[in-house]
Amino acid sequence: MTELVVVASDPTPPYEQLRRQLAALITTGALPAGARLPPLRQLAGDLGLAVGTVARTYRELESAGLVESRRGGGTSVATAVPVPAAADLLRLAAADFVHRALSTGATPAAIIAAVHRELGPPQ
Amino acid sequence: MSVFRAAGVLAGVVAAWVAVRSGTGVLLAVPLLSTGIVAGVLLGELFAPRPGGAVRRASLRVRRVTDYLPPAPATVAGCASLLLLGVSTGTTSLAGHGRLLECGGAAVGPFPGAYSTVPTGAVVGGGLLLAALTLRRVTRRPWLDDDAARRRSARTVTAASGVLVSAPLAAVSVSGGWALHRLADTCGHSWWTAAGQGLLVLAALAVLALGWFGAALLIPPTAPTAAGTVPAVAAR
Repeated sequence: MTELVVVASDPTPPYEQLRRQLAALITTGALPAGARLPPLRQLAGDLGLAVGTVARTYRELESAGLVESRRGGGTSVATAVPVPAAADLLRLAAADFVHRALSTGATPAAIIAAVHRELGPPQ
Repeated sequence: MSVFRAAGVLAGVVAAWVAVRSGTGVLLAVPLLSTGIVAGVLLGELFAPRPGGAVRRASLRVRRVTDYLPPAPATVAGCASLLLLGVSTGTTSLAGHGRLLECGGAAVGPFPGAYSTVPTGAVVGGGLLLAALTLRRVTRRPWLDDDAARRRSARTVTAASGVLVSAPLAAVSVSGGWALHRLADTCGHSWWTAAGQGLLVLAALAVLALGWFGAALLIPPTAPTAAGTVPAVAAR
C-alpha cells in the first residue's frame, strides 16, 4: 500500500510535501481515477499534523483538477486528470523519489549512487 | 492484560457488584461488567502512542470500522440486539410496570415488565453506544502499522457487546417464555403457547451465544499476528 511521508526537518511546509507526493501518485497513475483518499482527520492524525494542513493540501489538489471533493462523499482522484508532459512526469517522479529517499536518512551522494546502480551501465 | 483493560474490568466488576447489592438485579450485572470491559478498551485506545519523530508515515488506505470487525460475531451481536429490543418491547407491552403476567385471576412471575426492561435497556443502550464510540476510535486513531492490534481491540469490543446483549436476552426470553407458556391454557390465548416456546428456544440460543462471546473474551486469538506488528493494545 502506498505511503505518504512527511519529514519534519524538511524546510518545505508539510502541506506542500503532501501535495507533491499526491500529485506525483495521481499523475503517474499510481492512484487511479476514482480512488478515494483518506479522510482529512485520518490522514492528519496518522501524520501528526493539523487537520487544516491536510485540508490545504486537498484544496490545492482540487484547484489543480487532480481530486474531487463531494459533500459527505469524501475526496477522490478526479476522473479526468490533466495529463502532464513527459518532462513534467519525469520531474514529478524524481521529486517524489528524492523526497522518499531523503526521508530514509540517505545523503544526496548515496541517493545518486543508488540511482546509477538501478539504471545499470550506460547503454 | 493491560492496565487500562484491567481497570475497565475492575470498574465493571464493582458496578455489577453494586447493582446486585442494591437490588437492581442480576439482569444489570452482566451488562455493567461488559460495559466496563469496553470502557477499558476505549481507555487503551485513547492512550495509544501517537506518531512523532522526524519522519512520519501514513498509509493511503481508507480505514473503516468493518475492516476490523470480526464478521460472524458482529452479525450475531447485532441480531441479538434487535431481538432483545423486540422481546423487551413485547413483554413490556403485556405486563406494563408489573412484575407478574396476570390473566383470568392467575399470575406468573417474574415477568419482564418495564420495571426490569427499562433499566436494562438503558444500560444496554449505553453500553452499545460506548462500544460504537470505541470501535470508531479503534479505526480512527493514528496509524502505526498496527492493524493486528486494532483487530484484537475490535474483537474484544464485539465479544463484550455480544455478552452485553445476549445475557439479558437469555434472561428476558426465559422468564417471558416460561410465563407465557404457563398461562396460555388458563387465559385461552393459543398464540401464547407458540410465543412461549419460541422464547424458550431463543433463550437457549442466547445462552449458547453468551458462552461463545464469553469464550472469545477469555481465550486469546490463535491466529498469527501480522509480521512486524507492534505490541497489542492489550499490552498498553
